[in-house]
Amino acid sequence: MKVVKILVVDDLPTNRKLLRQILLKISGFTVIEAKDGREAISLFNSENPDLILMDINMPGMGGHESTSEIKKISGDTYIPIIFVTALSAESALSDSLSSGGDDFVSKPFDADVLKSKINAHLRIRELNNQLSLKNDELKRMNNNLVREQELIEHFFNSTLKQSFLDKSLIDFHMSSMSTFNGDVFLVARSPKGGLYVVMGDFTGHGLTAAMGTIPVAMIFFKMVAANSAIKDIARELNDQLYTLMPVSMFFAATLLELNAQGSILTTWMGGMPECYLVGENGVLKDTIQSKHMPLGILRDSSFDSATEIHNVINNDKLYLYSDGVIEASRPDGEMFGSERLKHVITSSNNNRIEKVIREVNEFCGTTEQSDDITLVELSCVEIPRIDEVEDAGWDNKHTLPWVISISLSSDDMRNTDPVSELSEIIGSFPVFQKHKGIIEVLLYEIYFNALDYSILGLGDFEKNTEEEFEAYYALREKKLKDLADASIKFDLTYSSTLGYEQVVICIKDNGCGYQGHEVDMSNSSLHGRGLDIVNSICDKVVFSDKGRMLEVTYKI
Amino acid sequence: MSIGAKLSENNELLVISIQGAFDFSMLNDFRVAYSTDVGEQTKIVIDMRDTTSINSSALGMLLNMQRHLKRDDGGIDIINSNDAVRKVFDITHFDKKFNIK
Repeated sequence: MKVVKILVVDDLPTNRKLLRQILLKISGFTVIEAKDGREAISLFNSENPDLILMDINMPGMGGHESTSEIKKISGDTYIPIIFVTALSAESALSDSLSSGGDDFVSKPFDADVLKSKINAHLRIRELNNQLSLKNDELKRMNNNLVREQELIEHFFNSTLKQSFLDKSLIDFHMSSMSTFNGDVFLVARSPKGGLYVVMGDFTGHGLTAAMGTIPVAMIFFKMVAANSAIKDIARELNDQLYTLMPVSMFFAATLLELNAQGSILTTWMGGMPECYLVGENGVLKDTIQSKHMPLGILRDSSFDSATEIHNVINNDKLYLYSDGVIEASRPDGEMFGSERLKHVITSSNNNRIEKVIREVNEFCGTTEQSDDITLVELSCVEIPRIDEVEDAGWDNKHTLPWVISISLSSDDMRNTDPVSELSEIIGSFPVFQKHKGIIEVLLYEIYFNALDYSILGLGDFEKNTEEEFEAYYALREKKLKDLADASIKFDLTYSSTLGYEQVVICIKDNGCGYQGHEVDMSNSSLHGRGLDIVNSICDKVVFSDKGRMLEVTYKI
Repeated sequence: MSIGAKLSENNELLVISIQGAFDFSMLNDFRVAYSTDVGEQTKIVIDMRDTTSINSSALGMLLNMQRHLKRDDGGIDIINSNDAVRKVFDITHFDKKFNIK
């Protein structure tokens, strides 16, 4: 048990001695003594006693003055001061309390009364100490909370500010019940020019609901930057949220893409209220309904990522909203509802978002907002392009020369896809990264030329109609199946001397040779186009060995 | 590598998307994709966002589609092509036959 320290203040040594004797009979007390008010203050500061027994009349500083001073110093910490007095009870009580004292005992002392009073005040002091500890703790926790909230706000702001909110495309209103919002509204442009929107509503409100917006935003912006299709974004969001979120939480959302020309709208909607496509003069052209469950509920294997497409024309407008809009209630409990919303949207020609919000507010009157409210208008127009960013390319970097040789047997021709394998290899050289697609086309055309015309001898077959096309490929398949003793050899030589970077591709076969290379290929018939492409891509195209060997030079 | 076709509810719009290298291995799938119930007014769009490359066989397949659907030059949209695909269209002047965006 903690030793209780009691300060006895009295100018008469006999009184101090008497009190000390009484106190020491009560176990657990130690006693310190002061002979006047001034010494009491100095001992209070240096010894930190738990309780003070104070005489009133002393030479120098008296008990009342000293008490006021000590109470001032102790501040919020409760230090019980009990006056020891021979004065009559009533006046002693009122004086002691007015100078800040807490109680009094009259002389002569009754040891039991004194003991009870001391213990009572020590209990109060103990409670007081606990309370002030709790208070400190609360203060610290509150400070932490405020700081955490600031940090979290920073996360949200930096995640959400990536949104592309061009006024010519997007008008919106978003109001939340608290700092953090369970409604999500993100907009981004893809490198290919499409405009993507995700608008949705997490279960609940406030911070817990807002938690989910961070993974949603990160996945959304990343996938849009990769030109991903809406169905793939929907699937990824569902899978990630399914993994991350507790079972009771989910994300009702509308995902959409408007293509760069503003002519096709692709949508995926899960658990959201219907949205409206409005044409000129407020004509309601289409009501798009939610076809899916909200995101984060179904495991990937049961998830349906099917999207819908909608034909839109210039200046059609699409209205998306969270259920907070239609569920806004007036005092009698009636909700705003989708009919009122549709009416406001279709009965005006501009500033529809502002008008809807005004109507909702008027409708609700004094009722407090009970859900996050988000309302979005998307104008279907051509999307402004993202400014091209210069690639920090490999243009001026010297790279080692190399040679690749590949020989293909009949089996290889039947069973492998040498064009895509070779393109992969070449594309893996940094200097070719940006040229991989073109190299693949080039390889395809010269390989096709060697295989179909020289090896398989299909040069005379027309491919002018669908039927001929199919017949050609059926015949090709058959001939390929029966092929024996054929050989095609690729030699690729990359050189980077004198600032020239080029790859020379030589393809040799043991067939009958390609006969058509002198034919005029500028007409628009369906065959011959392949070598047309080769001619346009390459600097040099040279046939030799009666059409059995072709050498092309591609400059980077 | 696959082909997807999506027809809007009112048959106003058909979007065909092509994944991977577009060549004759997709011949049948591609035919099936445009042989759905499209009317004369149906807008036809080929989405090449996931098309890595295209070659002469595929160009032939595109021309066959145009002929089969009896569309005028420019009557079919091709969108989201990457640089390599775009270059092949440029080289072959396919913008005279298709509306390449």
